[in-house]
Amino acid sequence: MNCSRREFVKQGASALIVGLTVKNFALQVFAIQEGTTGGVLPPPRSVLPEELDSWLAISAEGKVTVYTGRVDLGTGVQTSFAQVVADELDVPFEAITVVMGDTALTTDGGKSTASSNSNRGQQPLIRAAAEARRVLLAQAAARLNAPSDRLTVQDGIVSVQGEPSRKISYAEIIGNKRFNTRLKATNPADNRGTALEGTAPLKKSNFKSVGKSIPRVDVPGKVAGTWPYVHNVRVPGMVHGRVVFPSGPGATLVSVDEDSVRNVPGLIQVVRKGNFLGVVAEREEQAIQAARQLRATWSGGISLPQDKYDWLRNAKKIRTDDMSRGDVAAGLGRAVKVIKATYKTPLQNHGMIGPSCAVADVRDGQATFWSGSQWIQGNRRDLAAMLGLPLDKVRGVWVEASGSYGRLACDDAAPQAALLSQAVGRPVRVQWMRQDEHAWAPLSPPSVADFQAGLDARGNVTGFVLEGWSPSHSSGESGNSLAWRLAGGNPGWERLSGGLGDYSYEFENDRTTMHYVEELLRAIYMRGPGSYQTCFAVEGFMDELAAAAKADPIEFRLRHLKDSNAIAVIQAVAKKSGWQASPSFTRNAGNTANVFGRRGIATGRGVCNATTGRKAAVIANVEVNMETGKVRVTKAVIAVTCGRIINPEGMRHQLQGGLIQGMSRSLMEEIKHDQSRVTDTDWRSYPILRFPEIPEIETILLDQPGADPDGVGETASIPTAAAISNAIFDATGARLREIPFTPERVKAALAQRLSQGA
Amino acid sequence: MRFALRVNGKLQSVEVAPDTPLLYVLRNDLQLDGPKFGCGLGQCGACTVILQGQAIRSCSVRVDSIGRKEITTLEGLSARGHLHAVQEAFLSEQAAQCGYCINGMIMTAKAFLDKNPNPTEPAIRQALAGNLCRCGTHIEIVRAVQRAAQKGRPA
Repeated sequence: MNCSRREFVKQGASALIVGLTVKNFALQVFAIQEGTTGGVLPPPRSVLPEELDSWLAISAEGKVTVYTGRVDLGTGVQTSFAQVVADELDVPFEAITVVMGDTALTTDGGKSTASSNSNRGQQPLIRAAAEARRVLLAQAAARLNAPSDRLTVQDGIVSVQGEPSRKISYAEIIGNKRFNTRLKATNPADNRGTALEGTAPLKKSNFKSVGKSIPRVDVPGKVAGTWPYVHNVRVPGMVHGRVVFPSGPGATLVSVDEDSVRNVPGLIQVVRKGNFLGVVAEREEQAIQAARQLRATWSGGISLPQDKYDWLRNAKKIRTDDMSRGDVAAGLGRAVKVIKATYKTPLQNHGMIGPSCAVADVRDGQATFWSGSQWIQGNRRDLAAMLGLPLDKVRGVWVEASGSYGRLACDDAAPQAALLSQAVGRPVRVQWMRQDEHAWAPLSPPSVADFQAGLDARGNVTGFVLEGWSPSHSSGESGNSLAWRLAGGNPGWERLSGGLGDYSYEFENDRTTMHYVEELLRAIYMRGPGSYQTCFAVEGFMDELAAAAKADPIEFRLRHLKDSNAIAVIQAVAKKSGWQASPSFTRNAGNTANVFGRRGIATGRGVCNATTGRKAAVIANVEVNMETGKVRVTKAVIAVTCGRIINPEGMRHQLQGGLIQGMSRSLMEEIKHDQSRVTDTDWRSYPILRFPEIPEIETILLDQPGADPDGVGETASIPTAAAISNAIFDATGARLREIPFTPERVKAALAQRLSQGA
Repeated sequence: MRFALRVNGKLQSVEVAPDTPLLYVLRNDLQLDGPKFGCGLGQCGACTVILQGQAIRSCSVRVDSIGRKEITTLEGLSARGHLHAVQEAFLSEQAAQCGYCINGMIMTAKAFLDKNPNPTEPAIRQALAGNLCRCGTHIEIVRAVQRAAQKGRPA
């Protein structure tokens, strides 16, 4: 987009501050400070988290600007952030503008994820607002000559209780001035962003904005086509780059035949740095042509295993965590029945509809980049280190990307654009082609989990053992962008994440062993790191135990749960879906006839209890075509409790979206590869769920007004897989222990079931 | 080569190679950012525009194949600052999360409703079957199309 000053003004409450010209970065910041943002205050003097002014500013017109390093991933947090700050300050929702993810304007927010934005993202904003309110009330008390406990605030106007004429507005107190107030900030972990201590949130009730389904500030621009996406960023003098990817991961660039692109009109340069290869041209289609046409010779590369699950068990271990409770050996020893099973989850693609895209301008010893990164400060740190520039000479500006679901935790396009821009001395825009995004994006890694559990004569669990193997996604995150890897010299900062093993059941004797192993292909977990995988495995296995105990799956789960929230969500979905208690695959005689006659449609229902901190439960209804093996989810009911609800409709949409995405992953998604590279490179070879396959969905939101808000962006995806596989079992008696539940796999499971007889 | 294109009711002149996909001309030469690049293969629908009443994939259509046919982009739907009924319906249903696919959803729905003003829900789902959404906004989108259809229906 070409952002003029006027356009900022027009965008009003939803304004995103995107740079004007790029050439001079200091000038650019200065231009914004001069007040180009239209009724929005100049940016804070510093981006130090200890300064209240870094978080919040109030203009002479009473407009409130909130600055956060957290960014929106398409879930609508610009709106919910404004809601919580509006209530904490007692100003109208419309008075708030949220500025996100600009390293010159905002503190390091840590990595934005759909769920953590609602807890760790909101925490400092609520605290900063509470502190601002405290300071404003103290100053109002002095100006109105009244004790502060007699003051009341409404819509940004402080007045003395019972004497409404004695009043002063926030704008009169502080308009266009600094708070100059220090806060206590802590940074709990490398990528989680700042938490603020100090004045506790005052608001516990009487919310005006919180709890209301305020329409999202971004949707009008999105339906009109005017919303700024990183794909729309245009800066003066910008040219177009494309990356020429290696023949496969780990391949070495042997030679480049520049003559092969001599005839491409508009070609500016072929850029090579180590194994990084790219082209720059005046126009986008020229860059695409040059990238397609450029002849390059590559050699070597990694060797991908045929069976990734065997590979995981034998892969190099980075760390092993062991947790146990009670005496597992004794527990299993007194069992009358011991059940074993193995669960597998595949490689999956995050599947951004809009591929990676960024613009970078690297000139005169400084760099500016525009990126849809989920962690703009992390990308800035990497980009500076890769280019050998001091951090303060690099500015990262976040502009919304296509929904990324974890994938843009490490934006690859920005460092690539930076290398190309550095080479040609002009701003360069890089956009990945579809085959690049499918084959070269970091993938959500595979996992395998072995279970063993014992049941006593009454069908209670005497011992429960889980041993899991999954790659950490450290190497897919910041510090490991593709460009930096290919250009050589990246440090490979290690961070462990995505392990299996967290569940809410309380067994007398249990043991969880989690092996974090090296990556198979560059890895970043997708929505629900480790939780999607763990939940499928644990909840599939729990269903097996319930069946072995000849128990109703819900009754069996409740027997082993103490957490009141976990129990509440299960009971809520059971009630809403009209759950009929009985052991699975025993209720419906028609099913049995269909299954053993291998004809018609068998129907079933399955339950799944989410195993993460946020409590959620899903019941899915399915139809299984006994001839084709095709599974159709006809209905899903989800109940969630996640603290105070900020925006009920926003939450409902997140839950529906998460469920649909989770269904797509569970029913159809698995990245295929040959010995050296990913072979699924478009939407035909890697299909996702389409409109005709979307089921009816019912959502139940269990509000806890007294509890701190938590996110639900990941929550609905997590319990989807096992709800479906357990429903398939209920319909057919066949157990699906590997995602996705493709027709071939369902038919194989049915054949195995039939071979066991009735 | 120079091409004269009729876009959103205006005649626009562009100087591009004849095999340039229409999408790049719309976005880069005419700065119409409504249509989005999603796949370049005609598989996802993010780039959809309406060509003489038909919803087409602008990533897979050469600029030299357009001739004098009228092109309508998302920007062209909202006349004189007012959103089109389909856009209004998407807004009312809050039918966008990241919103990257929404251009394609609105343009496909608009062309579909023009021919099928009174569709059933399965027909709407079928009409949108070629448009991919990754955020899972499908339910809100179907509701939006139903709402737009009801609004367009004579009382």
